[in-house]
Amino acid sequence: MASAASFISTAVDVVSEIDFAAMNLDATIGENAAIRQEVINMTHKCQETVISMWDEDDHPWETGEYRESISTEFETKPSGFFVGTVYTNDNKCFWIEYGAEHMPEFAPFTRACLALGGHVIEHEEIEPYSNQGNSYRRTSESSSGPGSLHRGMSVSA
Amino acid sequence: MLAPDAEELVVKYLSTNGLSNVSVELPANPPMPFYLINRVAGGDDGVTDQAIVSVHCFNTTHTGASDAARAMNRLMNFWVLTPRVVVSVGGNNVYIDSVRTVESPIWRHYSDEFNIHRYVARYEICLRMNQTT
Repeated sequence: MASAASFISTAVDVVSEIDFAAMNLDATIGENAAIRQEVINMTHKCQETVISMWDEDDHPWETGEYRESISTEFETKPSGFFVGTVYTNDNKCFWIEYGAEHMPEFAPFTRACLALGGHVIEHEEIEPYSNQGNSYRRTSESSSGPGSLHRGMSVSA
Repeated sequence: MLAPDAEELVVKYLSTNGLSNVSVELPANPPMPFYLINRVAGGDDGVTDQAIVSVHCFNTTHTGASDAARAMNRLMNFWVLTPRVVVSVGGNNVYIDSVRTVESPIWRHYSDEFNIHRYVARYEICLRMNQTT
């Protein structure tokens, strides 16, 4: 017991001496070239998965506008966090995700997220994306692969 | 082994805890408030079924739909806190591992009809795959 207590005490001392705030972990991770490339790769994989969900199933809108609108963007947050986002700014996005009177609840982003082992996140930051009615982009951050979402799916370092 | 029917489970849970008009199908002229249950996503690992289930709460006014959604969400929150219960559905016991709120109720446009308003919420329900039929 004494040695275990000693070990824990030493470990606490060591960890206490690390100045995590000064390290700026977000920036350290976000600036790593290999990690950035992995975020880019995963974001494109998420985009392909959303599109494949759309293509493979009996999707509710046939014109191709929604499919073409599934896009990616990359952003380095002020903290240094590097984030890739898959999103759509199609103004039918809410109806397609949640269903409507004449449209089934297709949920392509949620289904793609789960297919990739992502985690659907409840609390997202919602930003107006454009002036088109109910069109929004959602972003969120996740520390492990694809985060979730309906109009947007986020991958971050 | 098969997973239990997550939609049927949610219908039973909400119906037996005080809500009326809960179904997996929306009739042409639904009584209001009306609750529509729909499984939208999820897979399984052979042991646990991870179902994402939407609960659509309809009413004739925006505030009425909000009230209906809050009543539903209150019941679901109880379930989130105490998920590990055994429920009999269709004569079979259903073992629930966890219930999680994926999205709290939020208004989403449903129809151009002025008297149909909808709030929708989503929940993740993890069920033991113990069914044979």
